[in-house]
Amino acid sequence: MNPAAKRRTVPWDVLGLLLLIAVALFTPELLRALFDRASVSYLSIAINALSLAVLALSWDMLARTGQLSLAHAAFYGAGAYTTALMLRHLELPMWLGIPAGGVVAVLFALLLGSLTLRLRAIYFAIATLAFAEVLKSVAHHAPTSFAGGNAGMNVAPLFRPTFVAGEMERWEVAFLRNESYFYVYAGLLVLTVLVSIALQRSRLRHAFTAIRTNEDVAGVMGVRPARVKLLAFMLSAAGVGMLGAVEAHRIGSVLPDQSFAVATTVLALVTPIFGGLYTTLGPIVGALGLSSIQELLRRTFDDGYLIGYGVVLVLTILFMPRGVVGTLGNAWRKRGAGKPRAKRTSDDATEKPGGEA
Amino acid sequence: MHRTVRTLFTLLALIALGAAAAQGVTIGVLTPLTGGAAGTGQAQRAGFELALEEINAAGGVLGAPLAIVIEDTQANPAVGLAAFEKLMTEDGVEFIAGGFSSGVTLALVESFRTFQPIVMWIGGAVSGIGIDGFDGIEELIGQEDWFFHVHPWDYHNVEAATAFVADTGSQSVALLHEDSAFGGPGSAGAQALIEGAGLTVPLREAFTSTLLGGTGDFRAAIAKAAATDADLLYWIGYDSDVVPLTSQVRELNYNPQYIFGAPPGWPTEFAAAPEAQCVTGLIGFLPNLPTPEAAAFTTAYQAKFGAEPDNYFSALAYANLWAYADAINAAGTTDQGAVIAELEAGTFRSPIGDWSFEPSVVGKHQGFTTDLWLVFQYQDGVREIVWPIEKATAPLVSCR
Repeated sequence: MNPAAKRRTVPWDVLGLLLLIAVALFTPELLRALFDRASVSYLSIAINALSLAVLALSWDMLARTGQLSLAHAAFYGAGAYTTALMLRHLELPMWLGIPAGGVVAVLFALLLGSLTLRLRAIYFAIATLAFAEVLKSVAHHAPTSFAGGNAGMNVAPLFRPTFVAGEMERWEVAFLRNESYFYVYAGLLVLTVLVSIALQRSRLRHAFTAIRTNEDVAGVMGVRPARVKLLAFMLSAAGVGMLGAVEAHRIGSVLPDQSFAVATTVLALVTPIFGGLYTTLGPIVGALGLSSIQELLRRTFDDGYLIGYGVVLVLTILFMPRGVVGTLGNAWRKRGAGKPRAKRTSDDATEKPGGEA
Repeated sequence: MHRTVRTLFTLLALIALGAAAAQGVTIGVLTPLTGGAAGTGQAQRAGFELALEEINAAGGVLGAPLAIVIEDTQANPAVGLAAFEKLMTEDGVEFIAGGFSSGVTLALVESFRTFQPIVMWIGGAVSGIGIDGFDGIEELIGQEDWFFHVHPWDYHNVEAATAFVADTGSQSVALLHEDSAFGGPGSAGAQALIEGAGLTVPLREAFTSTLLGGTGDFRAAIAKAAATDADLLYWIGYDSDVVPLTSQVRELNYNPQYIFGAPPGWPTEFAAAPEAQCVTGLIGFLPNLPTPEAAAFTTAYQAKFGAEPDNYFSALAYANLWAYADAINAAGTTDQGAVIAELEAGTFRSPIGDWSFEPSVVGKHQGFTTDLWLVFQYQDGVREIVWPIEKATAPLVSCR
């Protein structure tokens, strides 16, 4: 790209990140101003949506290399158990459990990736699924005195605002707690978005796309697929590990079946498919979209709302195979097809279900 | 013009007040209507709806119809938390009923403490008693004035099962259990109690439940149990393990004197299967329980839903809502202190029989204990109650 063209390019990703930060900063107070005590409930829903966004965007980072990971429940559980174990056995500040959760998840990704990332497609997926099950089994059979065994472990909350009678109402305590958690989850999402943008803006983006398109050809071109995929796997695990740690504090416990639930992995892969794969925006749109649709359906129909949710997913996959962001991006590009455009980069010409937001 | 507007506003205000008065008391219900525990959640909903219909037919609560708002927890802690906060802040309820899954209950502890509504909880059996370094639900909130626990605690379940096992006259017990938070601590407690009763436990073997990703092949564990030649095979697992496990016991020609299972529920269609014959199990309610309350509940349930209540959580939910209605009516107000006093003092109706709240190991308000549990035996396609003797509909028969 020549310098003149570079000057003309609008940094949509950076602008989007700034917008995300601005929205996150004002969301709790805005909700409180608009909905008063109901803001507690809406904040809780927003926290769950942010959690899903972190999970989905992290998963997508590895998907950009063409690898389908079913290990994200393992990274989530590893993060959750790390903070729980630190609380139980080490007298360290509680907050340290969150980065430690990320570090342990990265180490597990390094171990698992070193052994399995030479496998491709379904063989890699099966190996990663088995890994999640192995960690769950280890958690089940761990000595009770060390890691709780089948019974799991309690995890203290990160925030415990105090109720002051006469000066506040009880819902305000819940608001303060949810507001604090909201900022932690939003911070985690911002961090994940930063990593994703950095990847998209670096030369690694081209390496990811080349590996995804044809790993053998990528190797001939000088890309070292195993090393690049391992890096993607580790970056992908970091955010999920920290998410698991935060979530453990919020829900107050770690249990083997709960912390290493297969449902975590399913959500991690369904959400970017819905929103648009291989982009920063797609998984976030997917998380916000799916959370909103589910909540809307839940509040509208007493029964069978999950049927509606499933129908939305099926229709999206059938009629929007590039996900919401990919389909809207295509429509936008078609709309501007008649106008003169900047020269496309080589990377733009490759397969990209979600476009390249 | 000004007067017309004022009159209109006055009228609207009166209508709103009238609507509020007619609306009466609302109880918030948390239960898993979808997800892996949906069967139990739907059974709870049926029990709540039946009780609601009867309560309102009998005049409602404080002279107005009682209402319930049911929120789906999906048996997911984060979803359960959002659902509880919706009930408290959007629906404005002061009373919480329902409940299932200890993981969800643990997630709600902080929020329960914040809002402090009256919580009458029919799920979440993990007490934490006897587990070092882990605080269960009874230990965390059992002493709170506003917390009332209806379902027996985990140690009550084990005590009842052990009492039955000892009453069979068996000398040895082979123990198979699924390896999660449900079967792990349960089997350890069961082994200690069984051995305490003078019986031997030659085997305690874990398996992965089909509910939690297991293959459904239990042959290795069953073969080990068969090799012990124990008098009684005692297994702890989930509903989905019932059919494969009992089928494989027959397939391997393992023929203990008694087979006793302790899953949360039993598949309805299992009764008709030949491998069900002589299998025994623990359950909280059966339609053929020989009491007038059980008969009345079963008849009303069949009339409303066209089927027999086959999950005991419907009976617990029914008891849950009636206890609220009776306590609030007795208090004559929704004032929390007055309702708590009535819940502490009252005796309540249920399909299982009259019940009240008493202290437990550390909890202040415990509803049912070992007295909830029945043991049934499949005999020619019918679940006959065989224990305790005073509630039995048929004698226990040996499988040999």
